[in-house]
Amino acid sequence: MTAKKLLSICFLFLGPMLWAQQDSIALCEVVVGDAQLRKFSDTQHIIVLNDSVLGRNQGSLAALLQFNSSVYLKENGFGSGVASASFRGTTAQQTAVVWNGININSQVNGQTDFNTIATSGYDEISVRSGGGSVIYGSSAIGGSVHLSSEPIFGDHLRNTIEAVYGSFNTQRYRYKANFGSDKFAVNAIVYHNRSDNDYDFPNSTRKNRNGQFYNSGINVASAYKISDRNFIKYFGEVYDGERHFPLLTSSDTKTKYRDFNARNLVEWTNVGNRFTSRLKAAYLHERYGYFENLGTPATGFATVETLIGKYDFAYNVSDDILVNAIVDYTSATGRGSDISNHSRGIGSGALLFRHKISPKFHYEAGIRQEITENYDSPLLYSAGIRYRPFSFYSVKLNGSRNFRIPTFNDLYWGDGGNPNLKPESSYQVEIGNELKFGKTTIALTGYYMKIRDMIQWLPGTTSTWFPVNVNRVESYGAEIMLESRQNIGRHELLLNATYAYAVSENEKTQKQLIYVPFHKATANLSYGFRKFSAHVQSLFNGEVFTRSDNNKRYNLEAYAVVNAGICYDFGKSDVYRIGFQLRNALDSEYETMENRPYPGRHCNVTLTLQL
Amino acid sequence: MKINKCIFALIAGSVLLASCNGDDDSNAPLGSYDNGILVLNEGGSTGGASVTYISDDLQTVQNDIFTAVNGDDVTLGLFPQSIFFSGDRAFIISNGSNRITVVNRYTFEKVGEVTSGLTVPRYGVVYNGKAYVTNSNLFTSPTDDFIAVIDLNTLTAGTPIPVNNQAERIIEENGKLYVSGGFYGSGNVVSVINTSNQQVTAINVGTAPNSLEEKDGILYVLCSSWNGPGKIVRIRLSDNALLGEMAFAETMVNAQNLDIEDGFIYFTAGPKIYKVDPFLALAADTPLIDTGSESSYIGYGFAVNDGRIYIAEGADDFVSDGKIFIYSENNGALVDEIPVGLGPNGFYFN
Repeated sequence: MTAKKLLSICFLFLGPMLWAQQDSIALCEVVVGDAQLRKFSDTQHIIVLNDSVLGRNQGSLAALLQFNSSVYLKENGFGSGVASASFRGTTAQQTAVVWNGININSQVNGQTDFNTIATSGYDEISVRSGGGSVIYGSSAIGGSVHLSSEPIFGDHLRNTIEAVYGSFNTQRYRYKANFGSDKFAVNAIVYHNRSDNDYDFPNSTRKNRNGQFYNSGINVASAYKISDRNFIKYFGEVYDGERHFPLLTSSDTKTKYRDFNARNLVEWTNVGNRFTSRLKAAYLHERYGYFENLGTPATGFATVETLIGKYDFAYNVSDDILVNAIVDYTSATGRGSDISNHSRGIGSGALLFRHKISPKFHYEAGIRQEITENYDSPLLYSAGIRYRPFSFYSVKLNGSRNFRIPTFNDLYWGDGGNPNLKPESSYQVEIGNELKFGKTTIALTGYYMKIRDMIQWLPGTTSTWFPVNVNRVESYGAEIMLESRQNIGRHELLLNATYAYAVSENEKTQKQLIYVPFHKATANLSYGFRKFSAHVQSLFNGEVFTRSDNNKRYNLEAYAVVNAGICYDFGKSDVYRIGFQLRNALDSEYETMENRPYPGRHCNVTLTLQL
Repeated sequence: MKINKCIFALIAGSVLLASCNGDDDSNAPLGSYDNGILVLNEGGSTGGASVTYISDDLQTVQNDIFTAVNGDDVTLGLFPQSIFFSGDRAFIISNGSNRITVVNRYTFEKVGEVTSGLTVPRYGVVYNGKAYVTNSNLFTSPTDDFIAVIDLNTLTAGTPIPVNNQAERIIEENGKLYVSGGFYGSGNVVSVINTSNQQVTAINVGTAPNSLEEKDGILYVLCSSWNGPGKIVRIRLSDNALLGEMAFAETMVNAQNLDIEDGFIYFTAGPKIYKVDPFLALAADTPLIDTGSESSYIGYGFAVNDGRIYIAEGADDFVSDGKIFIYSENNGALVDEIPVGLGPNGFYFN
């Protein structure tokens, strides 16, 4: 079959570098910032999205996960307002975002706004469904998203410049410098994203008004080799963004948010014959301002500064047994228009254990306890086994207790906070099956989860609004993931697909939670031939309830969205790549929030220089 | 949606036919939504506002009549708070969209809108060819509230009247505007505004005056914060003098919705409805009706009209449609319970 035929039949495609071995695989393990993700995630399935996948997706983490994982996202139209992500029918506050091993969910509201994470800033993003491990702390109930950038030792210098221009005056610029020697390595990214975001709503006379946004940032990952056994690493990032909040009608009051986040992490790694010791210190700064009216100064604002000290000692008792002890202390100090001045300190200790009984049979277990004056913290634990009876089949079993701590807002909001809140906590089990045939992997996972003490804000008798531990949720479902690579001569094909079935019910009312689709599926196909590549991304999202009594009259309809793109590389030693992408190629009408339509068919052009 | 529209067309058609048959019957409907009750549903932060029509005999209930008549592309905007009327026009005030949507009150066809000169508009009243609409302005400032003055012919806003206190509900009497200045637990005054010279006088009445009505030259003002007992203050309109107060039993917390009908004052406190003589010195906690509702949003809308008491209940989580209860004014017996839209907050009568 010729390339042309394949193209005309399938409409599919690749990036020449698409599945080129990602840099990190060849890396010395000590350079990895999020060591536990690799060492202790043996009993769960992880989707890894590398540089080339990141490049195909529009700037925000929201757009990336929407098309590449079973994570369900809702936002106020494209790139607008707050993007909330959830796994397995849980909430955005039950989704942990972990940056180089550090949980970066907001101390103020407990979640990460996925529109404030620019994927341009990272080399690799990993998605892990389920609680599973105790080490990612608060919010790792439904799952976790891991952001990482990794410096590489060895003499090299590589500069990448990328510019994207698309519909609605959407612009993305990115400069990445990757250089190093035997002693020193730096991976630095500078980016700027902006959009007028003033698209017409499909089949409507209305348009997206006041939806413009911009964000800029610098991300640095660097490492210095003091000796063969001692490394110093520094990870830093700054994000500065402003998003206007789109209007429902033209006369709505125009509002906007400003976000400023700065994160710094220094790590000293010492490697012995049988142990790895890591000492980490992190300083996180988060600040937001909400402008109730564009013409006036911010009326709602908060700043939280968080200091984290962490010591992590991993010891190989034998070649098959690994023990890992972690102690950490987090001190967060917040102030703001609605939370006045508060600090909290949280200490924790965790013990992880992994045993490879035979090449076929592994198990791992972990416990973690937090100590704080602010709330009663439950003992967290997790355990998992992996059994591989045949070379092509393995079965994984995992169970855990996880939690989500009350936020500054929950505890201290105006006259409405509730200092007696307990953390939300969950019990969950999952069973995973992994099949490998040649270059095809299929993972099937079933899970069951109970969440209790869900925090909900209610109008009350002792205060206007206050949060209480009121709801219990029962969730169960299944996830299927497929990855397949085929090389036929110089033709390369890659297929990635996910499907998730999720039931998530309020135990009291027996109703499905709002905005949780029963069905979500994604499929991505890439094709590459010499310097030509192409891809198709598709997404299906089943209908969702928007009313807690599951009144179908208000349901958001199911939708399917398809993006397609092609690119071509010019140049010999240096690479000049030009790409074109058609988004929402089928011109589907869809929304992830009531009354917030996404744009119809639109496009963008990408220019990339690799020097 | 399409089926709903067909049904609507059928109903509308039959009403038109029926109206052609009548002679000079004064009850002949002036549109599909005459001779009935309008329930305003404010919706949530993602929209979903609607108006429910219920016929006087309670036999016909039609949800979201505004969309049925005007189509999906025309919206009431976010959080319609209240409706006021002038002739055959209804003015629907949406506080989240700084918008007043003008419709024919009987057909619900949109005939105009006011979209400038408003910042979080709340309630309105008509006097002498002008509408006076209270505006909260910034939520964080209690002193920047104002009255928008709207020409009812051109639907344009003229120079606003600053109130310098919170401005919520508004009534007109003898060319003067009386504005309640309370909200949840804040505010202490009723503002009196002379429409001829726009002079504003503040009368201190106590914590959170939230509803008011005039009867026989006396203004009755219900004051109550969300967490404390309330009272009714009587003010003589001729000289703004405080005539006295009716205290409430301590158990009657968060009283709202003062309405005077047939010589009695009606109001709500939580799930209970009270009927009191206007000149009582102390209102005991002996409700006329206990709705038995467990929702925090019972009493989100309330009215007494033509022998019936109407009370609206928002869903406890405000994420599902609410319902209304109708009681007999005579004996407090439950007449009917009708599901309506999301967040029902007011009753209006055609």
